[in-house]
Amino acid sequence: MHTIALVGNPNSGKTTLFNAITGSTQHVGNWPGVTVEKKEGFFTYNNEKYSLVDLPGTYTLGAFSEDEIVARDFVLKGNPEVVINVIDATNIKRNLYLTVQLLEMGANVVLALNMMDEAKAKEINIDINKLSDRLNVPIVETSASKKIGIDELLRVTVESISRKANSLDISYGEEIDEEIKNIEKLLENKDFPYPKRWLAIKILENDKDIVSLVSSDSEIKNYLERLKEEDKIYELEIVDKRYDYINSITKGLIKEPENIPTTTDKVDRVLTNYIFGIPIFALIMALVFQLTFKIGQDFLGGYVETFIGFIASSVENLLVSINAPDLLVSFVSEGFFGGVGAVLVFVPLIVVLYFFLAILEDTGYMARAAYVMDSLMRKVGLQGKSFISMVVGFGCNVPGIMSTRTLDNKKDRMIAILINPFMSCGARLPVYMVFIGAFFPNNGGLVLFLIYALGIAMALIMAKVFSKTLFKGEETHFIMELPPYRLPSMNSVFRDMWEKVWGFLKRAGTVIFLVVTILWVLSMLPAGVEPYSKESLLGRIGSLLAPIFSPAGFGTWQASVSLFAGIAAKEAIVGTLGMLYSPLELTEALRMNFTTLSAISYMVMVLLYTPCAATIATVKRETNSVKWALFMAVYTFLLGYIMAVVVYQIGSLFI
Amino acid sequence: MLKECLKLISEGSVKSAKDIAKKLNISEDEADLLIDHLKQMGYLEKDMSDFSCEGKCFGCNLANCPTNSIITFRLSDKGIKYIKNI
Ligand SMILES: Nc1nc2c(ncn2[C@@H]2O[C@H](COP(=O)(O)OP(=O)(O)OP(=O)(O)O)[C@@H](O)[C@H]2O)c(=O)[nH]1
Ligand SMILES: [Mg+2]
Repeated sequence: MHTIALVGNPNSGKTTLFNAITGSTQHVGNWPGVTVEKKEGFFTYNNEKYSLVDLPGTYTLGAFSEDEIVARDFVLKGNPEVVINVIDATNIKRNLYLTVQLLEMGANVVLALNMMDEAKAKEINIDINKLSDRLNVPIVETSASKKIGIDELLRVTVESISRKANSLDISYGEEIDEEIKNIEKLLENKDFPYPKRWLAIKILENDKDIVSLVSSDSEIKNYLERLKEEDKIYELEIVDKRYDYINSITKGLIKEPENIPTTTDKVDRVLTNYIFGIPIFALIMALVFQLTFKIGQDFLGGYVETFIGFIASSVENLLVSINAPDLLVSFVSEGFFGGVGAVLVFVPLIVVLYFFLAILEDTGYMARAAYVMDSLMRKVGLQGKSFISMVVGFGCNVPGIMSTRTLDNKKDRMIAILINPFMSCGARLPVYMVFIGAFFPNNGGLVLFLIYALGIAMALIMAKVFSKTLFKGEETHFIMELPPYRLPSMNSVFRDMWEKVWGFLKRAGTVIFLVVTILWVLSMLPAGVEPYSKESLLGRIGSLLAPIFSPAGFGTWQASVSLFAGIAAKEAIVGTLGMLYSPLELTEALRMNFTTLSAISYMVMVLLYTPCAATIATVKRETNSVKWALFMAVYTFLLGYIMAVVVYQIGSLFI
Repeated sequence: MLKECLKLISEGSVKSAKDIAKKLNISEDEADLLIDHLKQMGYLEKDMSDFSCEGKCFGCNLANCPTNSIITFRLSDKGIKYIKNI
């Protein structure tokens, strides 16, 4: 029985063709491969039975994947009389690469120019007769899914069985041709089950399977070692030459309409524009914050606040009515609801912000943002890729810092780590929000945007400083995949968002609760002192620290204590303030204890000062150095402090 | 072309297939093809390939896996060595 093989790029329509030829009544047998399988079926033509083998789809016939080895081994060792090479007519040049390799093997090829229906619809015009002449291979047009051209393909295939195929000899240029000849000579009267010239080319292509096969021969092994010593690497050139050959063969034979720009192309022309790219990014982020503010705070925030307030007063009433001890009532209403509750109020805001960020990511815009930021990043001595770790930092600095692992160069990486905390993480959001609520209720989105922008600006400035002082080194480069834009999948957006929100809730229930509890105890001691007063233990500690912050405008003991609580976790700042000022409503209390200017300087401090403990621990782990972790904690504190003082002092001149 | 493409990437004058297409005056499909070959032959390697955050984002629960929508490729050691030799 004659055997015929189907070979082609993935998705070129081999299996469709296979089914069309063998029909559903035919027996289909499976050979289990390691990761792939080939399928055999049968068909009869002019009362003769033929076997047809469907091979896995591949772009090349190297030894890069199991699929390729399966396909190649079958062509070379399965002795198919004819190889039907299925080609996607809408993408000829790419598909012909495989054809060329088949021809080099000396396979008896029939080209099935498939997807002709689509090619016609796309107005791609192919001069098939000339192409067939130049390639010296029969070509049949097919549309497998419409069962068009199948009979003709079978006729030509069966006819070709008696055809004598000559292997194709491409010239690879003087130097390589010379090497091929040399190797062919070495291969003479050696018994490898492959065509000699093909073997020689594969050896020069550094095909790992073939190289290990022929290395059993000491002569060839020596030859290869010599090539290696002389750093003679030909694989790129060989691939190039194959494309040169394809270009020369197809020259003038394929007429395609001018590329119609896709929607992605058109959108990208604007969004990744050299000049407007960065301003557009800024605008989009500003819009995100504005929307976050409007929806998360103004609209949803109110409901949650009312709800938490309702529960708080119900629980308090209940406790009072059952004559619970005063201390317990105080802890529940002021510590738990005043503290932890103050953080929980911001859940809707977090939900909305991460919803938008997830959408930006899922549509493919974030990749473009990294793309447009690249040039700016390079100007400050950062690698463009560091922007990715910065974007991650907006969620949380811990994974932000961890994602700097992708920076191959140690200096880039150190800088990216050291500036990551200036990317304002989600945990800091509640702090800005209470201050915005108290002082800038009408410009919330703008203020929020400015804070984030200040964070980015600070990161860039410090990156420049570090790259000029601590770390100097050469840049490394990369390319980025810019996948087509797509509608966000709500599934992944919601999953992404939910993970973050759940994390936020978990922290409120654990770290924040713990911090608030400890501080509550400290503010009740020593026994008999008026709770939350300056005379309490906490008040005394805070009062010691407060003078340090006077130049920055927030030299109260409550503000000082909350900043230190914030080193445990940033949300704890709000939790602490909420508890220390309760039973007063937090916004009201802030208006009494801060001025507009000191609110600004306080927010600047919160943005820039020492990151949370988890972040510092991550720095230690990632840099493997306590020194750098301490450096991070201290330099950010100093920077935050200095900036807060500067803002307050300069502001005071005007107000 | 492959050599030129690799060189452009190593110089940092291109950031995407589109850029490569523009610089080499070829179609974007062809640029994609060049990149695919370079990846396949191991001259370019995917970033973050050794990056897994399972169980590692300790401490901060706001942490979840870094963004997966931004995929970048860098020159592999093989690629760097090759560029140095030409
Ligand atoms: N328009 C059109 N679509 C086709 C044609 N032939 C196949 N297709 C479609 O192309 C897709 C891929 O077809 P398959 O037969 O699975 O391709 P394959 O070559 O076996 O793919 P792999 O097994 O991955 O290598 C399917 O959706 C087919 O319906 C054709 O002639 N015209
Ligand atoms: Mg298939």
